[in-house]
Amino acid sequence: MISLPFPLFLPTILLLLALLVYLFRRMEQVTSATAGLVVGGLALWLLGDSPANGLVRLLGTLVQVDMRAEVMSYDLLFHLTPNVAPILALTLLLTAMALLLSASVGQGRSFAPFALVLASGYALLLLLADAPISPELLLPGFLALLAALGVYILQAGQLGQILGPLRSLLPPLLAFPLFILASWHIDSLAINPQDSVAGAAAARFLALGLLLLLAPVPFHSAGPATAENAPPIAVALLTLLYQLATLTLLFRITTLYPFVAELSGQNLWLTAAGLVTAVWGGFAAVGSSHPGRLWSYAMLHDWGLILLMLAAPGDTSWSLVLFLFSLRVISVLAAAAGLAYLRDAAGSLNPARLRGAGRSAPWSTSAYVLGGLGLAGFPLSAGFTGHWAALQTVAENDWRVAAAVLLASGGVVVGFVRMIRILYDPQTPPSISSERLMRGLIAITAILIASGVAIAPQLLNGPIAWALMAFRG
Amino acid sequence: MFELLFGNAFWFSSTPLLLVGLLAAVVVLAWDWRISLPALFLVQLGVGQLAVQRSLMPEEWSRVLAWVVVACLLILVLSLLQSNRPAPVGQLGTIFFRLLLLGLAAFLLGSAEVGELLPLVDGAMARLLLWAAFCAIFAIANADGALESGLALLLWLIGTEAALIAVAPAALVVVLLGALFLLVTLACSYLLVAENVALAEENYPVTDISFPVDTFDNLSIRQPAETTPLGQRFATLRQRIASLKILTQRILAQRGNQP
Repeated sequence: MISLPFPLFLPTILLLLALLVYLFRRMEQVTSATAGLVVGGLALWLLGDSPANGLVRLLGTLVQVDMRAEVMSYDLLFHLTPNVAPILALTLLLTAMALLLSASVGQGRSFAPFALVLASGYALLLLLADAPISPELLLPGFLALLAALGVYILQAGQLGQILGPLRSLLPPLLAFPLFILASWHIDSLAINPQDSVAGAAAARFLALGLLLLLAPVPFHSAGPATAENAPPIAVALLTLLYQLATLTLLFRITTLYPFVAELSGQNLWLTAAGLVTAVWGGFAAVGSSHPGRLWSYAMLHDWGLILLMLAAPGDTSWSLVLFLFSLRVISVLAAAAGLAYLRDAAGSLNPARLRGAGRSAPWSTSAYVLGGLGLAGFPLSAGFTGHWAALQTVAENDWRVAAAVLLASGGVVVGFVRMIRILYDPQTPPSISSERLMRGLIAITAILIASGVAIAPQLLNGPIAWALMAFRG
Repeated sequence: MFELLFGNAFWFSSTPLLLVGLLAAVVVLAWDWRISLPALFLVQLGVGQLAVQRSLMPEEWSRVLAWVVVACLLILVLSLLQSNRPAPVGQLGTIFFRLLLLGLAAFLLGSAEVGELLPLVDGAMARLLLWAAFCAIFAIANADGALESGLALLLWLIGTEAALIAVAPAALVVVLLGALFLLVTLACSYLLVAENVALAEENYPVTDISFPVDTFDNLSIRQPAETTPLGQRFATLRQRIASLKILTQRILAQRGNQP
């Protein structure tokens, strides 16, 4: 009987798929769609079945599927547990959605193969269960490797500005040594639990490392710079995968090393970072007339609110964080779907070229605006319920913080109102051709999903309850 | 003679620390690849040898990392030859200004207590590694170009490698570091080829505060995109003040006429 170590089988399959997609990269639409369907199928399989060891009939042969895999030469153990499965499924689902979206609007020939390589890397990162150093403290190093791979799909072969992809390398690369230094202090703490100096040093290193990884203001500069030039779907995929991984890392570190939160004043710095990020995102959105930058500032504002919720006391904090993150995924992908078409049709995201584009591409423009407004928690957009629930939680502790975030949301809305006036400018003849039926259908689907979640947020109850399994230790 | 210059006693003296520190500063000060690239290689050799002599790192791993750095520098040179870059991008101030900033940092580092910061690393070596890391952060903060940023990131990795291998002496850490060296260099060399300096010199918002110029044109779709000359704006302002004065006088006159 053949034994199949699933934690290694999954990344290998993704890498082989990446190789195939790369070989047939000239048929971009077909390969992206096929890869999206395969990855989506894998995600749905993980969503449907609780992973467990067992026998599976594969091509007429009985195969023993093992959820553990060891790499003896480096003392690494990969393990797919029920706790990891939801995050892994979400990672694959995000990749699948990005691949399917890129099948309709090209994101560059390198997008599909690199997206698959990244999905494979994130899968390995999430499945790592044991290593010579605590796996949680190694993760930032792997994140830095994945950030270096992400550069290619952000630049997408364009000549010109490179600031965004270059800056995206910085947070994980600067943060990873701090985690390895912390590991030494944590090991000393295991030998002598009374060693308060080691505990304080570890807490300091980990807090600083986490702060860098979470990339609040002022470490956010990669976001707007990237969104200005890079393909929107690539930006959405990389941002969401990275942030999902950092949230998972934060949860694991908080659970495994509870002294870190206590000794580093985690709630305080998370509140400060979240508030500054949310407010700065709103403030910067007021002055931004570039659609890519505006979208990025809206994302920054939303991320600030998520950071604020991470600092909120109580057991409901993580469920609210997951709720906000789910709404963020819907809003970001809806906006990316719309923006990708506008970029494709106009050749760039230059606002001068996009004047009046909304009259030629009404559905894509609406998807972009609705997704962007969702990130500000505007009524009847996907983010509305999450933002109000979060604001209520924040206001229970300090109403002034909630008021500041609300004002900042107003800034994002003002930015999008100006953008609507630019995109639907009645005086300028649109420079782009009319929206194709297929593109219109994709944008309409994005709008329907975003509106559906806005009207009936309880639709997300099931997926969030399932995803919470990953955040319950 | 060779033994006298490069024997064990030499590596435990302060001379190699100073030399490597100076070379790390040269990477930032020179801001020219013809000087920075060889300096970076020498910094790697120096840090590696110092770490080996102080038992922070096995000699084999030091050699492996040195070869990795050689490969990284060759990758950068190949990309550099393919790209057409007239001048370094993102240079902060004059060389004297940078020297002043580095001098200030050196003074602060010299007066700070860093013994506890890097475990298992002695004070002098810890100062050198922190100095290299500081030079890297200084360069990262100022560099806008792929080459300068790539060199700064390599300097950051060189500064951290000895401290990390000392606290976590596992083959996995060396593999991770090596992979990071190579992937970061490949990413930077790709960006170096993609970088278009002519476009980089166009008006481009480097920070959130310096919004793009067209921000102001697009504030209202009703207004024409042409900007109003400053003098004309003042003329409009003067006209408005004058009409306001006339209006006020009329209102006052009307009130005066009322019984």
